[in-house]
Amino acid sequence: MSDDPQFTIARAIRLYNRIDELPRLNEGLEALGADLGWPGRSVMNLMLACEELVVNIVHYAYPEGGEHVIEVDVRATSDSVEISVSDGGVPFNPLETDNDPLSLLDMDLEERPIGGLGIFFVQKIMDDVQYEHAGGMNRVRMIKRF
Amino acid sequence: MNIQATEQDGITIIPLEGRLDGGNATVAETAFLQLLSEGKQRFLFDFGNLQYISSAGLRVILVAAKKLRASKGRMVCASLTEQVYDVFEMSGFTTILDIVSTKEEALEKLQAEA
Repeated sequence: MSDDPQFTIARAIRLYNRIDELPRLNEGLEALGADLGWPGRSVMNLMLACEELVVNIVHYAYPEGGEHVIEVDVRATSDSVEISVSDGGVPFNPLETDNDPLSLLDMDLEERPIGGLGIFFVQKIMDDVQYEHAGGMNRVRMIKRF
Repeated sequence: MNIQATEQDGITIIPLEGRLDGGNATVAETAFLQLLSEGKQRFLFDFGNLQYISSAGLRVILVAAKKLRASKGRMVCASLTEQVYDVFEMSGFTTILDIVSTKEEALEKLQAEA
């Protein structure tokens, strides 16, 4: 890893809105982690945060179907990483969920709804998560400080 | 993921390997539902070789737990690796599911209740 605290590595991972693109997302993050010397667990956490967002986009952003691009932009410095995940699908803020994810945690097996955890993981893993809709694009920006 | 379930003393062992994510969760769910429809009621989910799970993978585990609770079956999760355990804990799964550290412990548990 560079001694220069100002260094920045920027990398774009472009995916199609298909679930079989997940391996490419993971390979991209693994390669970046190897270049920067990130611990394996940190890479897995970033994979999890990105997967949850990308899977949501694949399933819900393009109800009319068709092939579209999901842009995963990673900017890493020596002590932080910022990832933005963008799509041009239907405007949707994943951070505005109907149910309070924390209320799920104490539920019994029988009453617990299936699903609803993905965005909760993103918020739990990353230090800062923000959503914006601009220029016809949904964009979730998230930051992790090491 | 190619799931090769095995049988031991009436217990169905499902080995999970690699990743259980949005890309293959439905494969695992289908495999479980098939075994359930064959009348299997006692399951050991072996997580020893699973390195990574996401919410799509957790969904499969929750579906299995709910189905087995409804049919008065039983399941135990064994040998969770670090990332998998952390994700279970974040989700509150460690309090609603039966989790043990080794496969042997899981077998003993399932046999004791036969």
